Amino acid sequence: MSSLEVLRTGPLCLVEDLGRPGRAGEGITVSGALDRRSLAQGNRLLGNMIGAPALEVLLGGLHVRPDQDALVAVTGAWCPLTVDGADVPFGTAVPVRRGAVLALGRTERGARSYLAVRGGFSPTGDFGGSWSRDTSSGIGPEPIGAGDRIPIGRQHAGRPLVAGVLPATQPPGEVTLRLTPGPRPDALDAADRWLLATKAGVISAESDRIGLRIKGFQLHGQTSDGASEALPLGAVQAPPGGELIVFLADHPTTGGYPVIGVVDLRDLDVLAQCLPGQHVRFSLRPVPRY
Amino acid sequence: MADGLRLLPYGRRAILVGAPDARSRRALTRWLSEQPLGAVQVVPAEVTILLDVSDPSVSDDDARSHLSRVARRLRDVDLSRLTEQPLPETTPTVIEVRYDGPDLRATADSFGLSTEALVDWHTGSPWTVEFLGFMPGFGYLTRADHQRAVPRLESPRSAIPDGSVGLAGLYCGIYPRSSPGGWRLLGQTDHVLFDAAGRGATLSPGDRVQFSATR
Repeated sequence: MSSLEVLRTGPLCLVEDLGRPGRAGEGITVSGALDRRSLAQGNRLLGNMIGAPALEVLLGGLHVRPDQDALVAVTGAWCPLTVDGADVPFGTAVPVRRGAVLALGRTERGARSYLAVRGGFSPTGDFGGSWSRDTSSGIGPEPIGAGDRIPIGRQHAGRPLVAGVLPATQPPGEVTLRLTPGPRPDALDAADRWLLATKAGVISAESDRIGLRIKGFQLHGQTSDGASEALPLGAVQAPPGGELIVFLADHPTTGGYPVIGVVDLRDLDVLAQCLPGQHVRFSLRPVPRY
Repeated sequence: MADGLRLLPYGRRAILVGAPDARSRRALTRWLSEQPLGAVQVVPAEVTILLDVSDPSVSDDDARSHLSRVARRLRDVDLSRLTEQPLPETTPTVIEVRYDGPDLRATADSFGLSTEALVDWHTGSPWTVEFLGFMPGFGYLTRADHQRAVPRLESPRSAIPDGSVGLAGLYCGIYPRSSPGGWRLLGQTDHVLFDAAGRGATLSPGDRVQFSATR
């Protein structure tokens, strides 16, 4: 089996696919790539199954060397790419000869790049049909470190595409998140709604794959009896401290703090590319009726 | 619409079902497990059940139609008839515990019991797994005669060893792996609660657990 040798990594490098949905009843969270769209794009470029495992590279800085000729694609946050020192294009399928060094430089826009390989990665540590590393519970393959050899799998579905994709966008100004209020009708009072609709908040440095923290919204309509209840992906908690926490892929399956609403799934891909200091606004959506 | 049942839209891909009490939540969870649910997963907690389309490959529109179908069925449920049916009694899983936890004595004191009497009480009859949450395989266990809420530690421990058996609120829980936490620890077990190599969680909601003291 061919593999990719890791020569060095940046701050964090994890194997992620589309996660393990449907097992929250066991306390197992969905996990998976934070920017699912970019993961899927990388796999599409290479003719892989759409959810084949790739490397989620936080802030770049990854150097790898395949032991067989390989076809790779880097998507998500833009970073300079070289093979043996020569520039190669971002967001398209790139051949890397056996023994050549593929280097992802420092991320210049956004936070997370995805290195996909034709066939996908298949390291040990998969659980429940997924290779995603769940940072909250430790399920899934260990974080990638220098010296690792990551086996390449056979999750291809067709031919590679001769095409390119745009890097994930991280607007320089503000990101607007679509928020559906709930689950409780009084989750937000009129003053809270006004605040959310007119002010901008700032992403705090304590954000991670479990939750993205936003400072700057002092809401007051929230109460909770503290009873544990299950939370969907994208739920926004408002604990007493004043920060909002948007629950991302590795969120705990239950929680006891008040929840003010849920961020649209497609906006979570954008959030995955936001760095601390990024300004964030909300746009309130109508609550569906059943 | 069933009496006392609330269907709360929870974002665009989930509904939170509020039950009047834990008993009806239990009965409803069981009823839901017998229904065709499509992509909707059922995640019970204390007195709520989350109906969630967590698979991101299902579109928001499809999620909505799956949820609408389940919501329609829920509206026709007669909760009083559901709760009349006794839940099946399963054979308890025996979990062996070394009762040497750091909070055993203080907890016994707060119950007005000797440590031996607390252990006798804890092992006296089976507990029931109400729901799982917090971390993979972490079950919230209840027993009808446990009605004295146990306060969490004021300052949580930064690392609770895996296998720790503790009390908090009206629940008993076992840590499947090491974690920070504020539960009052009575003892320790080698029982596997989460099998990361295959089966996943080894307890399910509705299961019964009989603790047994070992040395």
